[in-house]
Order: sequence, then C-alpha cells, then structure tokens
Amino acid sequence: MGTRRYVVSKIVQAFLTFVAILVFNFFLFRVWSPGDPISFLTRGQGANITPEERQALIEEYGLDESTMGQFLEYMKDTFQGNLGASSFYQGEPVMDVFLRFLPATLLLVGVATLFSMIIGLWMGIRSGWRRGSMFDRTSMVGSLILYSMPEFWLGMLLLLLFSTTLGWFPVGGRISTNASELSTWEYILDVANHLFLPALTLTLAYIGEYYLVMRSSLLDVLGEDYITTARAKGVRERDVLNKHAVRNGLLPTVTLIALSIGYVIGGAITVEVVFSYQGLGLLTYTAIVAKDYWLLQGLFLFFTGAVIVFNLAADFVYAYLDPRVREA
Amino acid sequence: MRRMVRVLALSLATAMLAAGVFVVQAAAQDESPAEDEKVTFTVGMVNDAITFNPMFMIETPEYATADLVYDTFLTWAQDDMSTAPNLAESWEQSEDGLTWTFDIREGITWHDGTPFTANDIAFTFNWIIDEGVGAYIDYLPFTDEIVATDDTTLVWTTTTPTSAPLYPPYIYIVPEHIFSGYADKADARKWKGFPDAVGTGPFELVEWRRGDFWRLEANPDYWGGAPVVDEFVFRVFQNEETMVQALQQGEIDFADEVPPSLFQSMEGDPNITLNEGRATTFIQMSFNQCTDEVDYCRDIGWNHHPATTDPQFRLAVEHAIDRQVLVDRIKLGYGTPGTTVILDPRWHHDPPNVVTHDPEEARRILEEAGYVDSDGDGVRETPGTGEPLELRFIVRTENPDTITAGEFISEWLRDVGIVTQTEALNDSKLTDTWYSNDWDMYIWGWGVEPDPNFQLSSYTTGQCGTWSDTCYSNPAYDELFSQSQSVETVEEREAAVAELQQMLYDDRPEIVLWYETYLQAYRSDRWTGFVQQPSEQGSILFQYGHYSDINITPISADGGSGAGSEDSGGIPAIVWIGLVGAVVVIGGVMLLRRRREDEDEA
Repeated sequence: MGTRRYVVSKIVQAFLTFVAILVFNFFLFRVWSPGDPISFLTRGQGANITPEERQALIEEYGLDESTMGQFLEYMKDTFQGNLGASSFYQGEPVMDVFLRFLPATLLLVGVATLFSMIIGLWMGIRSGWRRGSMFDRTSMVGSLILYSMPEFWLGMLLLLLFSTTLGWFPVGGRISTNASELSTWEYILDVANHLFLPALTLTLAYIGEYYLVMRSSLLDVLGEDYITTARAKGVRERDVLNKHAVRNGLLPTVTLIALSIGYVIGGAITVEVVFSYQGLGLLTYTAIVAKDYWLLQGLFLFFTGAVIVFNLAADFVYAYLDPRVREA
Repeated sequence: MRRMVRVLALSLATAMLAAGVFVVQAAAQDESPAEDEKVTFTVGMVNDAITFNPMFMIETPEYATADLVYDTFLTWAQDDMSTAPNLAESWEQSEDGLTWTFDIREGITWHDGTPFTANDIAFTFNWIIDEGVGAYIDYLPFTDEIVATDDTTLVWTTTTPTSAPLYPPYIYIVPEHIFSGYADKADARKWKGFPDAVGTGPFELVEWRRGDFWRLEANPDYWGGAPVVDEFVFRVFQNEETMVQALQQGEIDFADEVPPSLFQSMEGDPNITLNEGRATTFIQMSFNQCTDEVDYCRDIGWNHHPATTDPQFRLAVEHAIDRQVLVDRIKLGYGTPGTTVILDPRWHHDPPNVVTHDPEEARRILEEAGYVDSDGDGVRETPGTGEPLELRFIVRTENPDTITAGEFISEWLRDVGIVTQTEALNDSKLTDTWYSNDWDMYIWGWGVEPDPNFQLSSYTTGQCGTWSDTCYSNPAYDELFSQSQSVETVEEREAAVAELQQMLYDDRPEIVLWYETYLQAYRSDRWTGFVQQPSEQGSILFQYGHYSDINITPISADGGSGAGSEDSGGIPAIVWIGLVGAVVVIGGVMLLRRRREDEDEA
C-alpha cells in the first residue's frame, strides 16, 4: 500500500545515496587530493627511510596496485565490514581507533544538542507567541549574537572566565589524570566537570538555530486560518498555542533536528581543539593532515551514513506526524 | 496559601538534595588525599603519542616517555655532555682500533624481574642492523660484529678504526626475552609499546588513556637510584595556550617547548619558574644543489634555478638577510642568529668570517658575478642565459615561524633585485617535492644531537635522497668526514669537526637562520631538584640521561599536582549543586505558574 511503498522507496533512495558517497569518498581522498600517507609517515626527514623501505611501505599499504584495483579492494572490504588499518596509527584497525574516539563525541554532542534543543525550542515558541515583546526582542538579538559567534571564540571566552579567572573548571581534557583512582561517584563528577565548558559552548552555539527556525515556523502557523478558527470557537489561548500552533510549527523543526544530529556527530572540531577534548572532530583533522586514507574513508562513511540515516528517520517521523506527506 | 506551601516544600527539598550531594562529595574528598600521599609529577605535551615501541617512535612525547622507561648503552654527562657510562661501565679500544670491548653493569633487572645482561644489548643492536631500523641504524656504522662474550662483556668489532661506538648510540636497549618473540619488523610494529613495556629505566609505563594522558610509576629498584616522585604523568593538550593555562592553574607541573609569546606571558608569575635552555634546534634556508654528478639527482632527475648552485649568489643572499631581525621579530628575542650547523658548545665552531647583514655588499656581489638588471624591471638576470632571478621559495604550513621568516626574506631579496615565488606547503607535500629534486629554496629546521657525527654525516654526497637537505656534494668534505669518524684522539676529532663546520659555512649549501632557545616552565612553588644539562644554560627536563627525572622533589609534603583536579574539585561540586538546584527551582516555579494559569483561566 501507499505507506509501504513510501517506506521502501525512501530506503532504496538512502541506500543508493550511500553507495554513491562510498564511491565518491574513494576518489576524493585517493585521486583528487594531493599527497599520500607514505609521505606523511616518512615526514620531517625524520624517518630516515631509504627508497627501498619506502617502496616496502607502499606495498604494505597496498598502494602499489592500480587505482582500479585499489577501488575494487576497497569496495569489497567495505561491504564485508572491514574498514582496513590506519596508517597514522601504524596499522591499528580503523574500527578500533574509531570506537575509541566515538563515546567522547557522542557524550559532548548529545548533551549539547539536548539542551540547545530544549532551550532553543522553548525560547522560539515563547518568542513567536509573544512577538514584539521584550522577551522576543532580547532573545532575538541574543541568539543572533550566539549564532554568529565563532564556536572557538566563544569557547575561549568561557575558558578564560570559568577556568583561568574563576578556576571552577579544568582547563581542558576529558578526564583527570588520576581517573583510575576515583570512585564511581567521583568519576562521574570528574567527567561532568570536564564536559561542562565544551558542552556549554556548543549548547550556546546551537541554540540560535533551533530558536530561529522554531520562531519563524510558529509565526507562519499563527497566520493560518485554522488558528483564527480555533480562537473564534473559543479555544483557550494556551490550547491554541500548545494544541494547534506548536504541533504544526514543530514539523519543519523535526527535519532540522534530525539533520543537525546527523551533521553534529561529525563533532565540533574547533571546540574539541580549544578544550583539548579528544573526539571524532579531532580525529578527522588528524586523519586529513596525515592523509590516512583508511581512517578518512571510515570516518566519512560514518558521517555520511549518520546524515543519511537521520534524514531517513526525519522522513518517517515527518510522514508519521503529517499524513499528507505519505500520500504525496 | 496552598501554593505558598508547595513552593516552600519544593525549595526545602532542593536544599536538602543539594546538602546531601555536598556531604557525599565532601566525604569522598576527605578520604582520598589522606590515605595515600602519592607524589605525582604531571607534564603537559602538545602532541599525542601513537606508539611507545622504541623501534618505531616519531613524536617528541614518545621519545620523552621512552627516555623514562628504557636505558641507553652509554649516555651524555650532565655537566658537559661528554660521553658517560650508563649500562656500559667502562670500555677500551684495541691497538688496531678495530675492536671495542665494553664492561656491562651487573645486577640490573628488567621491570619484569628478568636479569639484564650484555646479551640484551647485543640483541638490540643486531636486531636494528638486521631489520634495518631507520631511526637507529646510522648509530652503528662500520659494524662488523657485535657480540656478548659473557653476561658482562660486549665486544664490538668494526671494519675500519672508528670511535663511533662512543658517540653514544642513542638507542633504547630492549629486552631480548620479549623482543625475540617477534618474527620480523612488521610483526614487531604491531606492538604499540603498551601494555607490557619492559625496560630498565627509572619508571614503568602502567596506564595509557590514549589521547588523554599516560602514567608512569617509579621503579624503586632503579640501578641509578629510586626516583623521588612516585608517579610521572604526561597529559595531552591540543594547543599550547591551554597547556600554559593548565600550568598557571596548577593542573600540570611542567610545560615543555613553550612558544615565546606564551613564555613571555608567564613572566612575573610568582609560582612559575621559566628556564631558557641552550638551543638544540636550528632553522635553515636550503638551496637546491643537485647536479648530474650526484647519483640520486641523476637517477631521479632534477630541476632548479641555475643560480642556486652559484656560490656568489648564495653569498649575496646571506648578506641580504638580517638574522637579528628574524630573532627579534619572530622569536621575540628567544633565539640567537645562527652560523654553523653544530649547536652543542662542546663541538660548536664559531666561524671567524661571519657574514654580516649588508644589502649594499649583496648588490655589489651580484653585480660582480654578472647578475645585472639589463631591462630595468627591478629584477636581475642570470649571466649567460638571461633568465631573470626569480626563484621558487617553499615555507612550511606546520611551522608558522617559517612563513613569517619567508616574508621577511622575500622582502630583503626583492630589495637587492631577486624575486621569490613563495609557497607554503605541509610537511608531507614538502617531502615529496624534496624527494623529486624539483625546487629552488626552502626553509626547514633540524633538531641536532649533542654529538656532531650524525648531523655532519647528512651533508655527505651519499646522503642525497636520504638525509641531505640540499644534495650538497663536495669530495673534500666527504673525505674529511670519513676521516673524522676514524680519528683516534678527541683533539683530532675536535679539529676535524670544526673544519667540517667551517667548510659548510663557507660553501653555504644552506644558510642557518637562527638557533631556537629551548623554553621550559615549571611550578616552582611545588617542585625543586631540577638539574641542568649541560650545567650552563641547560635544559631542566627531557635530557639525555635521567639527571632531573630521579631528582625532582616536591617542596611540601602534600605537593604534587596529580591532585590538581582535586584541588579545584571543591568549587565545581558547589557549582554543580547550584546548577542542579537552579534547574529544579526554575522547573518547579514554571510548573507552579502553569498550574496557576490553568486555574486562573478555568
């Protein structure tokens, strides 16, 4: 039926996008960009490597094969779930490296997204409902400032205030160096202490986006006829807002939220650098500098995969919330 | 009225929750410092470590860590960096100069309890030679055979008389009983140096939270004396600014390789002592010297502006450069204008004929050599070919100092009629370009070892395509270098080393721009006992040998920063409680207000 066809066609689309990206990634890193991982491994004249050793390394990493041969190998391995070995981490499996960096990013980004979403949407609703009020004007200016402020700059300001001046939070890192001696409770507190400033930075930076989308979408909805109708038939103002306006106004934000979660998993490179917080963003940066094809392929596979999956999820949620979509 | 009660109840609950949290937290904090007074010394590092396997390390923190875990065969003396006994106690050279016999220290055990013997040294050296370990193989030149004749005797025979075994080879000795388990180099590479790092050094690597920190525990049985501290922790930062802030906050005790501007910013901090150590690094500007005479250049092919191989041109360039300005503007004075390529005072040679900054002289030399601007466009032309003096100039994106230096130098060169096309490349791209011999000039740097042998070897013809910056080829230099390796007395060697430096200075395949001062900073309110190496203007940590490592002492009994996070732990606990409280109160108030609205509207 309609619904099933909708679901299947969306999934097929997502899969095709995924394959296209898989192919694109290969050429992007190996063919279209300069440099190679071997040059990086032998960098700084420091590895003192003879041409023979260099050749041996090239063979070790399978880079002596033709581009087509490498491509087929890559596609085969990827579909078998084998992401290969990282050159930067001297042969460690990409999956292991990835899993080591993943939890930190999920925690940071998850906390920041959750809070920015709650605060941003709440502010957006309130602002849109009382358009032109003091609250609307101040929060509009405030969120525009936060939205346009570079994350690393905001992070540094917070760091200066809360760490350097007040000394409330550690200057950086993910855990204290005595983490292994802490009790569970102390450990949680320690992680929270380290998480606070980077998460606050990201929360503040993300709020603006949610706020602006929610506000404008609510304003659109408030101009609709059914709102007027609702008011005309004497529905309480609070119910007009909560049951009529917000429900419809949330629709565009569902897509936004799903998409931003997808992107956000890529981590926040600049914030991670400012707070020396080792997550996927930093890992990506390292992989690019090191020209680590295998790590880059794995990371981008994950990032694009995340965007596709959340996009798909958005489509389904949207369809669930708004039956008109299914029928279209 | 009911509402008032509800608000009150809610506030009370919040307060109780907060108090409870605080009490638990306070109790937890009370017990931890009291029960074990572990003394921890924490160091900040800007690079992460990838492997602690002594055979495959690349990054500074990896070497800094291996230095604590492993020992070298011989070492450098603390006061003057001369060769000093370490695992080998004494040595003698045979009459014919071909055989060196070393007495190896007795009674040393590996961290796992296995006795250490001369066999471990022989094994390590032979493994490096057999497997061709790039980082170390040049320390073992002319080797015919290295054998342990018994547990305390190592015999090293060479194919030509040499004092190379005394240089000292900067090689970490690994345990035979573990390393012999690896089939080959590729198999050994899989071990990342952790867990099961077994060395003979003053510390054992016990914990590695990759990307965050790693921890070493003192080896109380260290043959050179037990370290004063119980633990040595390395913490990774992503940038120098945070590292320096952490030092000022007391989260770490020591910051290494501090950039000049941050170093300056700590002046006047009563808790921090700054140390300006003697330079071990220089920044140089290299000229492509490839000709068909050199094998690698001929085989690979080469392409450079004809002027780079003209000595008069290079002399003119050197006259055009104002090194003092580079030091003052780029390093904020934390450096010295460079001359020769050997930095250690014991071997450094001061050339009597220092080339001064003199643009007028540069112009005169260029005129005389036939580089004349005949078409009046402000750029001189090469005699004969008429090719304009327009050269490609590469600087490094990884080192912003070189980019700034490149800007200054380009300006000065333009002033004397030479045009540069400057390009910033990352190191891997630059390495490719350098391998392909297709460049004119670049700026890069060298970290120079205390012993001059390795550095001087890199300028020999045979090093083109391996270590040579420029593919400089001078048969007289090659000859003198190989003589210098086989001289028998120290005086002879000193004379040869000085002459080699003078040759390089006069031929200038590269111009040494400046020497970088080694900037370190530590919390002097907590720590003492650092020893400088060398005694005058030396570095105070990460030395050749364990001079500071085992002597660092906390000033008060409860010193040490491992506690750093605990120090500041009290305030965040309150902040957390405050935050949780605020959230609860706000949530409660909103809930109440909403109820009230409902009631009002109903």
